[in-house]
Amino acid sequence: MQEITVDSVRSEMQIPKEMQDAYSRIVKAGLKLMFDPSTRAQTMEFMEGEGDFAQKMGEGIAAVMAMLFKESNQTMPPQLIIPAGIELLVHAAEVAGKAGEDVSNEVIAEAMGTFVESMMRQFGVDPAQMQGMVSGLNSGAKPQEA
Amino acid sequence: MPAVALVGAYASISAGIAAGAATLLGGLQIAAGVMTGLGALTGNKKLMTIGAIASLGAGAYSALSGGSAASSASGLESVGGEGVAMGTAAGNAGSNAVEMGFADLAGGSDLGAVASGVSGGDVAASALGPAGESISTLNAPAAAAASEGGLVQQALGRTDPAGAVSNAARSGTGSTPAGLVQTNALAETTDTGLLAQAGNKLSTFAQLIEKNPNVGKLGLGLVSGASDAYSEQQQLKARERLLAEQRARYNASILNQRA
Repeated sequence: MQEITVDSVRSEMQIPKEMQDAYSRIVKAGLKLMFDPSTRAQTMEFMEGEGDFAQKMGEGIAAVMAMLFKESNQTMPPQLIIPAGIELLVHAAEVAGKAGEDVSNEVIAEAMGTFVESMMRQFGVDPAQMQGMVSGLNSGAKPQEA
Repeated sequence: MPAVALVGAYASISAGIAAGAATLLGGLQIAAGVMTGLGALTGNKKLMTIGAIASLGAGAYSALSGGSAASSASGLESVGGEGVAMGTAAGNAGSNAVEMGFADLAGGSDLGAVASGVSGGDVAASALGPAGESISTLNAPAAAAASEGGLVQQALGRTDPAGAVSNAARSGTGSTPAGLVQTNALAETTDTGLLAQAGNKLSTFAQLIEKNPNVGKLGLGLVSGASDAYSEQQQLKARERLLAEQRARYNASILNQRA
């Protein structure tokens, strides 16, 4: 993966067949929430505000996904939250790039990490545990097959 | 939107969100290629770490979500409704684990989860309790015990005033009779950790969106429409799994008696 585009990201996603429709709907709803004429001003206000751009983008997408989850009466398949959020993030990056923002792959990567961490925290998973787990693996602990 | 209403909105978000921790992490696998690729391309350590976790599979998610002690009332559905836990990887636990967690019946405040590692082979576990009943409906401790292999895993839960006891004995990822099974005992109230985290993290952009009166007119219910069908399908599958497991248990007990 050299160039981060919506198409390249979607092609890398391993979305189970039975979830593809739900996935598309979630992405569509997310785009609507961010870029509908009635909400675009808020999105731009947020993106142009103070703070690190990658951080804002990651946390902004996390807010969008939480909002969608709420709007779905919490019936949205949770396993689609991160994949759909990632695609929305790349959409947002493309829009920001077209608006003149310098959105490099590094910025997208940072925003993606922020988004995933943010969602994990909301779901009660401490990212520090992840680091510990990876450190454990690096030290030679052998994972068991799930 | 008044602050109280906003907090209420976050509470509902957090409660539902906590229910699906393990499932959320299952989404990492779907997006693992993207994250790993971009992480390697940019050298982003955060993404590389997440990619590494994604590669561990369902067991890692179980360990993570269980250890993080999240809870919600809706999380109980997976306990009673599905009844079978999921696999776990060694990860930071280092082994299969017996985990017991307690949600405070009275106050729901001084909660804690206890986990102790126990080495052992692969085991299969099944949740004890009537089909389709959750801990909240039973209002009594529920136990998940290994059916064979010698490793017993228990999760005890008591409801807090809001019924917010959860147990992440979830099926769907790696819960085969021969696979590893772990029941996660979760214990943390939503009005402390999760809510505060969600509120802090989401406030800025969420507040902007919430302030917009047009958001309600956007037709975001289409997400719900998509999810409902999927949800029904999953519930049906879960029921079928539970019935099959019950049948297997009954058969096993009859066969044991004959022997």
